[in-house]
Amino acid sequence: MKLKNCCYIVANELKNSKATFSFYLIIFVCLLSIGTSMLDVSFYLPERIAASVREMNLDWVTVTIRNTKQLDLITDAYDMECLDVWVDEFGADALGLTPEAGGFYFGGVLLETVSMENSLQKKMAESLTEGELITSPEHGVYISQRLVEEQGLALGQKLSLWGREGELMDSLIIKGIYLDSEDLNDYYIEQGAYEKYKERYQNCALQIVVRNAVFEDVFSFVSWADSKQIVCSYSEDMIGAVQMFYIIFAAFNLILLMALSGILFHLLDMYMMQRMTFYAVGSAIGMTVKDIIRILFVLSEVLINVAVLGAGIGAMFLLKSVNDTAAELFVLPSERYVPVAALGMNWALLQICIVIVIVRFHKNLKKREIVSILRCE
Amino acid sequence: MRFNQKIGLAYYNLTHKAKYSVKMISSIMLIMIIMLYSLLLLLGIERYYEKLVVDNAKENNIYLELELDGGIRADDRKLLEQIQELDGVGQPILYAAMDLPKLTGNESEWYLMSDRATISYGDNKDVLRCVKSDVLDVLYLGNEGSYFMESDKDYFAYYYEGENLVLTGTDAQKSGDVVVSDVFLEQFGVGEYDTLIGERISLYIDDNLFLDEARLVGVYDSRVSELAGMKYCSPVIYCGEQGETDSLMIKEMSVCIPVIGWENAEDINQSLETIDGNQKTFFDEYSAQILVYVNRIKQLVYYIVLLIMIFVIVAMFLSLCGVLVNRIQENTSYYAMMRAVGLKSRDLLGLLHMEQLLLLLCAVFFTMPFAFLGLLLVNYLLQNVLQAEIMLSLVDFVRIDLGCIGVVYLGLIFVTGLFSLRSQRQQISVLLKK
Amino acid sequence: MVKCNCVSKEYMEGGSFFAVKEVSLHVAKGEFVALVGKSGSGKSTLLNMIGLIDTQTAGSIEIDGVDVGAMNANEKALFRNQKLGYIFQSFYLEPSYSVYKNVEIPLLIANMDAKQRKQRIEECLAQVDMLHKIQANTCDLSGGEKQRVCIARAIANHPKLIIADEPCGNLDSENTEKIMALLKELNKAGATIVLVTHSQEEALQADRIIRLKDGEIVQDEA
Repeated sequence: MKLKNCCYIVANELKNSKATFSFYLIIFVCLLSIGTSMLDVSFYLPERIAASVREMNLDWVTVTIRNTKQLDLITDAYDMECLDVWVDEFGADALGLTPEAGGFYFGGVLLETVSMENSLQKKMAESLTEGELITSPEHGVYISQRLVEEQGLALGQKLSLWGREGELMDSLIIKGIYLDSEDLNDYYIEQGAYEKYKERYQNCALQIVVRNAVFEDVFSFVSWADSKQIVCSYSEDMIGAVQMFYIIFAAFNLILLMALSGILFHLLDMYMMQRMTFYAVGSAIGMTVKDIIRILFVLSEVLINVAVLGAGIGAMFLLKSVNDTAAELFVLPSERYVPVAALGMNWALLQICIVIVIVRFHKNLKKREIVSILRCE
Repeated sequence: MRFNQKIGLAYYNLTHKAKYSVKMISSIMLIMIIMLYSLLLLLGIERYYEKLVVDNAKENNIYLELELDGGIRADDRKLLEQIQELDGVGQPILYAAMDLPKLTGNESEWYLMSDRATISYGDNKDVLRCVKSDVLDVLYLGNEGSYFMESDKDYFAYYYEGENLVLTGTDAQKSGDVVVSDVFLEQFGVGEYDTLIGERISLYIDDNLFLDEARLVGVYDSRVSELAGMKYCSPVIYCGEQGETDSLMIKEMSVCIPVIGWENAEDINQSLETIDGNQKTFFDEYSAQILVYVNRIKQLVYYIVLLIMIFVIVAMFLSLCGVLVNRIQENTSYYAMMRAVGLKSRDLLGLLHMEQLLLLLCAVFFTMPFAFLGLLLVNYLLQNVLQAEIMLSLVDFVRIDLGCIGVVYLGLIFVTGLFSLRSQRQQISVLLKK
Repeated sequence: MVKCNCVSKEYMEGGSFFAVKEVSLHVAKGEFVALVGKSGSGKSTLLNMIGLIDTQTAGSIEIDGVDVGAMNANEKALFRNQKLGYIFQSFYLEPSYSVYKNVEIPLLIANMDAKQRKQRIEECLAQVDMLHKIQANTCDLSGGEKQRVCIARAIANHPKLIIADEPCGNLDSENTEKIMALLKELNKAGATIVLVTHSQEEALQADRIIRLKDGEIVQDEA
């Protein structure tokens, strides 16, 4: 039978079972609209949220390490960026300073040989008002403007690095003075000085604030660090909230996928069951199995394509609604557009479902004797 | 027709067309599984975000250092009252460092050493004298609860690699309880901290009774004071009544006002800037920022999930109606025949209802294992992937199942009612031809 | 036209049972043959095998010089469409289709274009005196009218062989007469007809009566 005639029969079938097909088309369009919207939203919204989290510097992770091997382990596994480094016990006493009443000084380490993007060093270089980042045999310290004003220090002056028990660890020369900043500690000693300190106090821990180059890696990074017994501190709430965002889309897309394919299978199955006699008689008067399969295929294609069109329109409105809500909450630009990619993906998926159904029906039809169908009536 | 006859006939009808019934049951199962999984996921998401926001809110506090002038200064008292009037703030927690030199009559001294103190404990009033002198300080906790916050304990554990801030006993204090540091006990020669837990101890300074029979409930690790960013911890933390502060010699007093209304974190921050011109209050903007941000994510997620749920429930409800209507249509001539041989409309409805119900019950029975699997998956997601310390309970599971079954049953009633209305209008002879 | 050579249909469910047992018969072109017998005699089974909607377990069948046993499913379908015409006892008309659309089905399968189809449908319906109800819904027709539509469908593709399985089984005597007259007309026009009936009166209308009993031919008389 020619394809044109198959389409003619399909048109007859649709005309005669308008109510049933319309009913199921509504269900299809509902599910496909929401499925398409969610799929489309999952392409861009989590990343936009993640980007805004990144902009607000809420995605850092503080790693506590006791030796540089742990740091190498991290950089081998993940692409990281170093934002800050400090040592808890490096306060005023470490430099032999007495802060003003009620004050605290927080000291860090300026890592030089770290195999990750060293944003701390870059920030330091940008913030220096006097001096420069230089490597010299003499160990140095970089101090903040606040320390200069409160302690009357100056570039080139020598300071001592003191141990826990008050013993002299190292002599440091002030190599640079930088502007006060919320992102920087009060002073930073050079890595060489820290390593000398560490020879004596091997359990001295380094707190390194890092950030994954790719935001999404943070989820696996914290689990990985936990498995390697590397102590991490991070904004669990923020990271968890964004991670859940990704999971929600994945999970619901899967559920909607199940629902869509299930409804499609059920619809075609039910249709075949209802029309089995018609097709049996058709076979008796010359319709081949191939013809029947072709009719079913054309019917499915008509349903799917009409549903996709309807869903496209529905999805546009849903997307606008979601975008507006997100824009209001996160100050993101709101756009309206047709979710072509998501529609295309859903369409392709439904095509696969149709193929599976057709193959199944083909096997069933080939197995059955026509006369047994007619006999049952 | 009797009730048991209806059940028998309904059962026969379903088993007679077993293949068809199996198809119907599997369709209903698919619909129920999708609804159940969606609802379980929704509940898991809701619980997760609520916990995030509530937990975060617990750490969100406004701190105020009070200036003293024989008591709390009038402007500080006014500021405290203004803060308490803000929406979403809780009961203030008072901390007061007691001025021991003044209390002991040694006003000229800045501090006291512990060698001037003695401890007596137990029924026999055993006495402990100082073996190693150090600064003695007593912090007065004005409210029942813990001086240390969860974040303090977590930070301690992470810095000292799994060690506990509270070495023995508990840090949760009731009125009359005292918590001391390990170093404090060591100053009195106590190495085994457990021996004193639960004992009523009295603290004498210069042989004058200072703390009378305070119950020692816990010992904490004094290394917490070494951690950067940690607040100072006195060797002795005593929990008393809030009103008592007026009669005690206070050196410093601070108030911690918890922000319990997470929705208001941003508003509170702005309000504080307005009412606290002298900037005496400290409100962790960073934590507030996180709280607000997480809340926004939560709102967006809720909105998206709500949209999904509406569409899924509507679509599944319609699918279910479609399945049931299809079943009825398939058997139109049978029902017409039953009416033709004398079955009353009411009995026919009852029979139809019974058939649908049996189908539904079978579907529910076979859906339960899958639904339970869904519960396990959601709990696995919450516990292992997101590492949230929450999970959905069996009660939640049962509630969701009942809700789902309710929706399905509603569909069943709706379809049966529709059939009833339609069949009453049509002649039996017409229905028989179908 | 039809040559059956030792055709058998054996069912193996619950022991061996022969619905048709080694039946050999020959139907000449243009002949009107009636297969008669009681219920369970195997007449419908034999007819189904001749009509290629059932497969024999033994023997061979030749229709119009073609050995149908060697055909695959598609070839059989094509053969049914082009060479055979079916008239069923239960009509098997599509209730949601009109008379026109029901008769159109075999013509669609034969890939006839729309204009030719229309012409042919009108011709067939005129032949069975149903032209006045061309757009009527089949569920609104009487039994006799339905059977006439069924005949129109069967002759739509100018079949060489018409298979009628108890065409008057559901009809009253008046309609039976009309249908049998129609079949005779078709036979006169050149169609070979194989009719299954349990009615002696209907069988007498045929040129030849083949009587079956327990799956075997017991009588074959002109």
